[in-house]
Amino acid sequence: MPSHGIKDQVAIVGAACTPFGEHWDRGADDLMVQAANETLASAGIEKDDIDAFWLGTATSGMSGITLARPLQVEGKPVTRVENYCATGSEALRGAAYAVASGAYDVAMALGVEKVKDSGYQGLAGGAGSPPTDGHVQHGRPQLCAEVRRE
Amino acid sequence: MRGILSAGGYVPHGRLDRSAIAPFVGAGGGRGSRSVASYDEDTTTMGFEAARLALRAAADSPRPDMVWFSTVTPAYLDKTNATAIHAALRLDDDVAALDLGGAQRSAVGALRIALAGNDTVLVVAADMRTGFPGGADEASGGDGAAALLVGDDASAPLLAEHIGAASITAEFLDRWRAPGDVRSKVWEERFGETRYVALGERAWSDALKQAELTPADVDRVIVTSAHARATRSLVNRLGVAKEAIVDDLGATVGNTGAAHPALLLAATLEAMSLASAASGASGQVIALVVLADGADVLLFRTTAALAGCRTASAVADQVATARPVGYGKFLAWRGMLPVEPPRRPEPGRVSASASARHEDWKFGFVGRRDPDTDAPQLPPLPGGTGSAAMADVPGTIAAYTVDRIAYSPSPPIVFAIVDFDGGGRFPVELTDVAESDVQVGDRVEMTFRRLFTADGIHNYFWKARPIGSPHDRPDRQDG
Repeated sequence: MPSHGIKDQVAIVGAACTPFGEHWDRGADDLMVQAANETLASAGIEKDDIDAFWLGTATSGMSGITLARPLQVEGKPVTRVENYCATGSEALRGAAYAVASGAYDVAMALGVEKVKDSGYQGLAGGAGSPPTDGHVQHGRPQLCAEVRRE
Repeated sequence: MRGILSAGGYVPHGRLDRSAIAPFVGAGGGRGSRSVASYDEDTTTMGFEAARLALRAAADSPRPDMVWFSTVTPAYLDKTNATAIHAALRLDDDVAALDLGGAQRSAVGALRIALAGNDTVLVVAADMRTGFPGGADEASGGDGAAALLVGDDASAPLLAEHIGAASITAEFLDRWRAPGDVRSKVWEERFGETRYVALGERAWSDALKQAELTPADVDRVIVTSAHARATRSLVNRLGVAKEAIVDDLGATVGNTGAAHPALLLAATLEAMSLASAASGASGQVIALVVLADGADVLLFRTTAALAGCRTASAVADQVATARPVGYGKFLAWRGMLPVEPPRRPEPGRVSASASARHEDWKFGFVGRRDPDTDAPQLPPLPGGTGSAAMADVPGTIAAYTVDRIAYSPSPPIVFAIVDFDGGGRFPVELTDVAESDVQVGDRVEMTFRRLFTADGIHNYFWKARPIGSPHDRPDRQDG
């Protein structure tokens, strides 16, 4: 099966990376917002210029809401991907191919992991739901009720 | 001058009709009802509710130097429980939060130490009383909490001045509980009665002598003990008029153990406040007599400030507004009757670091504000500004759903979207409510609860409860 490269069809126009650390005072929300804002600043564009988002995270959140909520993204597609250690590159690959396809002009790929909130050393695979402060109680029916009301 | 700056009592919404016990167990029970903490309440959440009422009722908002918490039924051992109360009250971090727990006597002891000291202390006590099904403790016990703000008249006007105290200590076995046991055991009750009545009489006369009073000078006497027979015997030997004896709430609430002395004192102060507002009377003497591993007597004299003191929720009103809890549910909530768990995966434990980062939100229900509109932002987001303290803000139900699938320790979950007065919207679980009672447009207030427990970690957060009971709303059928 032939594969078709996307060489010269897509450019990375901005990038940023938060410092690596234990970050006891910061959650995945804070790290994502910092990384996104600094990336936007490096490219000289605004959040509204982004057509679609790809979020890679293995253990720090479920669904695109993980990014959409803290970054306050409305009306734009946010895709969350997970692929073990290839999670981050999977997000970048999704965003790059989306732009190459012509569907979007600008896409953001963002990877986040807040490993230190699990209470275990290292990646706590199989530890269950993403670690939180416990206030989120949304099941799907409750979210749907919320959406209907909106 | 030292004394009580403010008081608050908390009686949970649920009541178990004692007559429901014998048909199920074959024995036990009795007349009247006892209070029942909901499945999402524990001594920490109830202690907070009482403490919040006490701080709200205090004139001039005196700042406590310390919070002390006493209970026989702590949510945690090895970890301090008062810190969660401290966090939910949003007290400054240099206000010390300490557990003075273990025995029932610790609670009245904490009050005594606070009165004898120099600091402004929020003295909180809570208890959940349980016994084996059909037993006397199960039927006569109750759940509840109370808080007294203790200080001197330099910080705020006293409601009641502390005028004397006496303590007599004796080592003897009347009731005991090994760590880990779910219930206490008691010795043959005549032995305890003989000891307690003698100890109580001595403490009574010592305290009166110290305050230079005679029994006839005492206007209200609160006598409380886990030993009901000793309490009854002592009451008859104090030399006070029958009218002076304060109702011990045994017929409606039950004996709330460590919380009961402060709960009865709070209820007495509230009732005397209303009476003195009508009559203009002050300078009345209250005696608190507690029998627990000895006897403690505390004497107070009411001040003119008592007449002007008003609580957001009086103990008498909470006693009057209740929802029946069936005996099966009571047993299940207490872990006495294993029932089929929800067929859902249990939630994971909450994250220590995430909880610590969001202490204000998780424990204090403090959001941020939208940078563009200044509306409260719930939950707070990284882009939010300032803070929005919402724990005391009432709201209105904009939409709700009854979820029979989502995990709950006591399904179903009633989940509502609440619009808060003055702005802010939050989807939140309802509590102290039957699904058939809920309607769009209902008014709710926030209450601090325990959502679930995983890996021994209690997940404390906020829920909304209806303002007023369904009985206040004649258009409703009580579910």
